[in-house]
Formats: sequence, C-alpha cells, structure tokens
Amino acid sequence: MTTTIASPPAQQTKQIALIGNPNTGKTSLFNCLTGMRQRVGNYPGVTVEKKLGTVYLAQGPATLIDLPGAYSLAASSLDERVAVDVLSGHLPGMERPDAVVCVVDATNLKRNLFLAMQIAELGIPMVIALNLWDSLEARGQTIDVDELEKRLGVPVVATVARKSTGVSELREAISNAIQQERCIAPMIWPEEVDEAVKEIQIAAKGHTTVALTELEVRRMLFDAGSAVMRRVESQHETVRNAVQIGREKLRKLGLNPMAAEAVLCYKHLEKLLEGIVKQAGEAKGEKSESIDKLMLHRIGGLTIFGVLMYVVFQAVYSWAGPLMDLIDVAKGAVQGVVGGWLEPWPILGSLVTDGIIEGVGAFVIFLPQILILFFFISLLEDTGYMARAAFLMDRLFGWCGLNGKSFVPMLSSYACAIPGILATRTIEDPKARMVTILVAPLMSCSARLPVYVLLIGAFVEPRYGVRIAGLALFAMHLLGLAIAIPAAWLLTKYVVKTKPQPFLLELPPYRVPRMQDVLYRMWQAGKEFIGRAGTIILAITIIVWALLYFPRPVELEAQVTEQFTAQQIAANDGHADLVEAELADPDSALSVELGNKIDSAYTNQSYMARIGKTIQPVFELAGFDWKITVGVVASFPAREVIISTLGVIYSLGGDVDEDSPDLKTTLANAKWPDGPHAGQPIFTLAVAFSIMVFFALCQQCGATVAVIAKELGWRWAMASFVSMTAMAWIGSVLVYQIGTALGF
Amino acid sequence: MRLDQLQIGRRCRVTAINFNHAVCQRLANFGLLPGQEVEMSQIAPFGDPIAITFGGQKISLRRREAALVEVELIAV
Repeated sequence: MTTTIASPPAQQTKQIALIGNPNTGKTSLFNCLTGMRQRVGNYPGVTVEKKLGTVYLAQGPATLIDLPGAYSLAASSLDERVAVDVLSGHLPGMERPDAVVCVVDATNLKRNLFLAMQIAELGIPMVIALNLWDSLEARGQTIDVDELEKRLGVPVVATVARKSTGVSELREAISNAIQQERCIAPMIWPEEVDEAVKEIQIAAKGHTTVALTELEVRRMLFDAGSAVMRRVESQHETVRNAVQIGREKLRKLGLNPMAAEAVLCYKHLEKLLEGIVKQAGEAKGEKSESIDKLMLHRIGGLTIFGVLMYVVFQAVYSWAGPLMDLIDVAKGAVQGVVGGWLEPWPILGSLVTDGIIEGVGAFVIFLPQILILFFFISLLEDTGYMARAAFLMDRLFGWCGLNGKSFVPMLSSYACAIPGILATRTIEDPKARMVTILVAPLMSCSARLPVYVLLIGAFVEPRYGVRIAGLALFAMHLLGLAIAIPAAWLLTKYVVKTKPQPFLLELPPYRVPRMQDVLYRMWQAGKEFIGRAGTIILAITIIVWALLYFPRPVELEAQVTEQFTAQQIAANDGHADLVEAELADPDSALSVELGNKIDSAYTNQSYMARIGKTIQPVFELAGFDWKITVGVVASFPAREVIISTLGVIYSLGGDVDEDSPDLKTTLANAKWPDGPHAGQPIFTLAVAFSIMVFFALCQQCGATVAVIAKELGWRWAMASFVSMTAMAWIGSVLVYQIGTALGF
Repeated sequence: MRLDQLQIGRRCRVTAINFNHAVCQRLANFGLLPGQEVEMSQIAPFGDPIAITFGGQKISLRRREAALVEVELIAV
C-alpha cells in the first residue's frame, strides 16, 4: 500500500514513524524532512488523515509516516488511537514501523518525554528530535544534549524545524537508529505491577486470538476505556476480574490505578531529567502570557476575535472574487474551444460542454475560497491562536453539545461545508465532532450566495433600496446558524448516543508560523478538493446533464423554428425576406433568440422537466411553479446549478449569472399562465423568500452528502439529507403561506 | 478548595484528584498530579472554560472538570 512494489523483503523500503505531542512543530519537521514528496490519504476504516512522505537516508529512500499528534498512548481521541495502532502494528494494511522519531518540545521536556516513555515499551528503535530549540534559547535555557542522550540511551538531536536547523543531523541519526536499533530503556515498574500483568496474561490465555504483550496488558490495567480491551475481544469475565484484582493490588500500594502510570512515569522522568535543563542566561518573562492577557481579555479578546474573523470572512469573500471570475472566464473559453471541436457530434459536444465542463467548472470555481480559507486556518493554527478562539467560544457552543473547536468548522462552512466538515477532524470528542458535521451544512455556504444575490437583487433591492437588501442578505446568512444551534442541541440530547468527552485543550505558546507549512497545507486542501471534482461531481453532472438533455426529438427544433419565424414575420408586417436574412446570420440577435427558444423547448420536455412537472404539486404550497421546481430539483446535486437551470428554462441560454439583468427582468416579469393565479406574477416577495429559505436549509450538495458519508457512514449522510430537505420544505411553505397572508 | 474556585493570578498546590473520572487520567498525563503547583491564568469571557498554567504549559478546561481537583492556596 505504500511505496514498495514487489521488492525482495531484504531491500524493502524502511518505514519510519514521526510522532509527538500536538504543537511541537511535528508537521514542520515532516515537511523539512520530506519536502514536496508527500502523499495524503486516510487510514483504512477511519477518517484520520494519513500523511506519507519520502525521506532520503544513507541506506536510500525511506517512507516517513506523519502520525497524528498525541499526548499519550491512552488513546482518548481517534487520532491517538490511530497513532497507537500504527506503532504497535495493529492497523490492518500497515506494517509496524522500523524506527520512530519522537518530536519533543525542548521547552516542556517532562510532558513530552512521557509519550516517549510509553512508546519505549513498544521496543521500536527511537530518535528524539528536540524541536523548538530556539524557543528554549529565547528563555535563556539550554539542555545538556549529550547527557540526555546517555541517560535515555537513544540519539537526541536539537532541531529548529521553523528554520530547517538540525535536519541533516536528524536524518543521519535516523539512519544510525535503523542500523543500531537503539531503544529507550523502558521504565522499571514496581513488582506489584509486574505481578498483576502476569496474572492478567494468564487469565486472558485462550480468550484472545493472539497472546497479549506486557504493554497491552498494562494499557488494560491503567486505562479506563482501553482501546486494547476493546480490540482483543477480552470482554470475558475472567479477564475483567483479573484486571480488577490487578487494580486492587495497585490500590494497596497507595496508587490509584487510573493515575498509577502518570505518577510512576513522572517520578521516573523527574529523576532522569535532573540537572539536564540549565539556565544559561537571564530568565525572560513569558511573552505568550502577556499576549494572552490581551487576547483572552473579556472585552479586548472578544473584540480582536471579532475583527480577525471579519478579516478572514472578507478575504474569503472578496479576495476570491476576481479569481473566481477568472476561472469562470477560463471555463467559458474552454467551452468555446471544445464546443468548436465537437461541433460535428452534437450530443457529445453538449455532454462535454454543458455537462462536464459546466458542472465541474461550477465546482472548481470554489477553489480560490478553499485555498484562502485554509491559508487562514493554518495561519491561525500555527500561530497558536486557534486554540484561543476555541477557548473564547467554548461557552457559546458548549451548552448545545458542540465545543469551542466546533467554531472553526462552522465558520469554514460559511465558505463551503466540505472544508468545514474536513476541519472537524481537529475535534477530539467524537460526539461533538459528529454533531458539528451534521449541522455544518446548515451554514450558509458560498454556493447559496448567487441565489440570494439574484433574488434579493431582483425583488428586494428595487422595492426597498440597498440598505434593506444588505440586511436581507445578512438575515439569510444568519438563518442557517439560528437553525443549527437548536438542531445541535436536539441532536446531542436525543439523537447522537455517543458519550461526550470533556473539553481539554492546550493553549500553546504563540509562535511565528513557517510560511512553507502554511502554503503546503493550503495546497493539500486544494488538491483534495479538486480530487473530488474528478469523481463524484463528474458522475452527478453527467446524470443531471442527461436528464436535462434527453429525450431529444429532432422534429421539435423544426417546429420551434417554423413557429418562431412565422411570429417574427407577422411582427415585421410580413417581410419574410428580412426575417430570413437575419436568421441566416448565426450571430444576429434574432438567431440567438431562436437558439434560446429551441434550448428552452427541449428543456421543457426533458426528463428533468417531466420530473419537475410531476412533483410540482408538492411545491405548490411553497409557491413554486414547475419551472422553479425543475430548478430546485436540478440543484440537488449542486445548488449553484439553479442559476444556469433557470436561465435555460426561461430561455436565456445557459450562460447567465446572478447579476444578469436579463434573468432578473425575466423573473420579475414571469406570470402564471393558468391556474388560480393566472396572469399574476409568479415571483412575489413571498415566493422569492420561500425559494431562498429552501436553499438556505436544503442539503443540495452531492459533494457534501458524499463527504458526510465518508466521515460518518451512509446512514448518517442519508439522515442528514432527508431531514434537511424536509426542513427546507416546511420552512419554505411557512414563509410562503405567512408571507402571502401578510400580503407580500 | 477546588481548582475552579481559584481567582485569576492565584497559585495553588494540588492536594487530591478524583480519578474516578476519565478526564483526570488525561490531566494526569499532562502532569497534573497531587503536589503539582498550578496557577489560574485566565477565565474565558463567558465565565467558562478556565485556563491554568502548570509545569510550563497552559491547559484550558471547563469548570465542571476543574471541580474534580482539590487544591490548597499557596501564600503569595
């Protein structure tokens, strides 16, 4: 599954794992070691991101696995569990690494080495990277590296990943570690622990498929919700009893089993680290502490937070604008060129230009927003501010079952729910994570914006002016959040049954981010996003295109042309020659109009229109005519499709956008041809808002459904889709009925 | 007194931790063990969570969890 292609085992590519506490600069170091030679994927069966890279050692290229950050092997989060499983060789499809590089924050040796001590028990050759050496020096401190190396028994290398210092030394140390296989001397446990471990091993014999290692047994002994316990099908009475007896032994020793490991290990480290950290210069006051006094201040902190979020938002919206326009122009150009080539094959031409390029283009257009958003997310994370934002916001989100870390995914979802949902991976608590994913699609993503701009521009602005229009736009953006909060509360209370996790978050010292890391992250987010365009979006666009294109009776074109020509001749006082001459020129206004009429005629009898007409009664209560219904149905795979679909249905051609004066006027002038409202305008204010509310609440995004399915499984994805659609329908019916009753 | 009752800027020493809660094991892994000195650094604008500093690191946790930690004040 990695880089080996049927090479003999002796020369197999070495696997090296990179592990460390969060906020130790582990990712920077990974980037330093591997450069651009990185691949991102998922671990089998879980949604934790798997990052692999190639590092060149003296022995040749080796695979570097960037494990998720972990504080301990007790595995309280999904990330930590993956780290444990990889290191112990329990993750299916992944080999146990040949060596592990433990990235240690030089300014917080004790806590960081706690993890190293746990890994030591796995007996994997190790190298310690003492990162953030510059922060240590800034504190006027130094570490006796040689002495530490002697006491630990493994190579220790001082590094400053941000400045790429010490990287070649680290590479050399890794090469040596693989050859010499030096491991940290594991802790010596009190007799009682060893006895308990033996007894549990004996009790478990025959109840597990593989004999348990001492380490695994210790994890069962020390951890309340042990991952080992769950993995090794050792729910048997005898095993459980043995664990209980073992824990009793610890209690007699005066140790609480849940704290025994930490107490013993910290005691061990205290002795090991004696005299290792030296005060070399003058001790300087913590800069981070004074920054926090401002950043976390009741008023100042919230103000700064508000301003920062405003800037991020503005950037995602306004900076992306010109780039999105550029993509749009490029899309048009490509359509023109390719359309020209495929002229002899109209169906293929339509499939490629109106289907594939149009649909994929409509998706790719969000790339600038994704890139800008992830630029800011990684900037905020790498500086250490993201944890502060979670700290400030936790109370606001905590009461409804989310937590402070839900804030960023929710904010991201305002640009697009897909990066938002991906950003929930930073939430350790599986319950809060699940609820955040489920409410994230309610946030008003940028694909809804065109709908709002079109309808508010056409129906609110002319009547009430720019200020009210702006307010309406703001209200539409707030609506999703206003629904999401109570929805989260209901989900937490009644639907999602997982046990909630406490909110425990490190506020790391503020640091200057390494620009390469920020750009890498941005580039990766973009790559992943585009990767989706090539798969699910492509498939969906082709289906929608087919539904809009077929059936295609040839005689329809002739009929429409004949009718249109007759009409035009009548309008021109019978000057048939003039009309025919103009129609002969394919670029004349009349020809374009005819072309649009033909498109419209085909669309009106397409399968999609038939579906729309059939289910229109369902949307009657929301004030939709069949054309709006077709627009709504066609937008289920991707909501931004509504604009171009309305354009086609109202025979303006597919190339309209939300600012097209034509589309606005056409909508404003559209009237009911028959029925109870015959002759009245279709788009009243109540209808306009009914449509907007529908778009605000509906899960009209195939890509989001697919991402939810990937993160939570298809059952949750379908539940999300069905409930959001139901909510959208109820919401729009309410808006239309109440709005109409009030005379709007 | 309990850790959540501390005022900003006050220092204390941990006397007992209720290890029956899983969260306390995680706190212990951070080094929050009986005998450890802790300072209350910040309280979030809406009153919860709090941020404490110990062993050269700053950790934020909710009041409900902080209440599981018994402390004694250190005279300034």
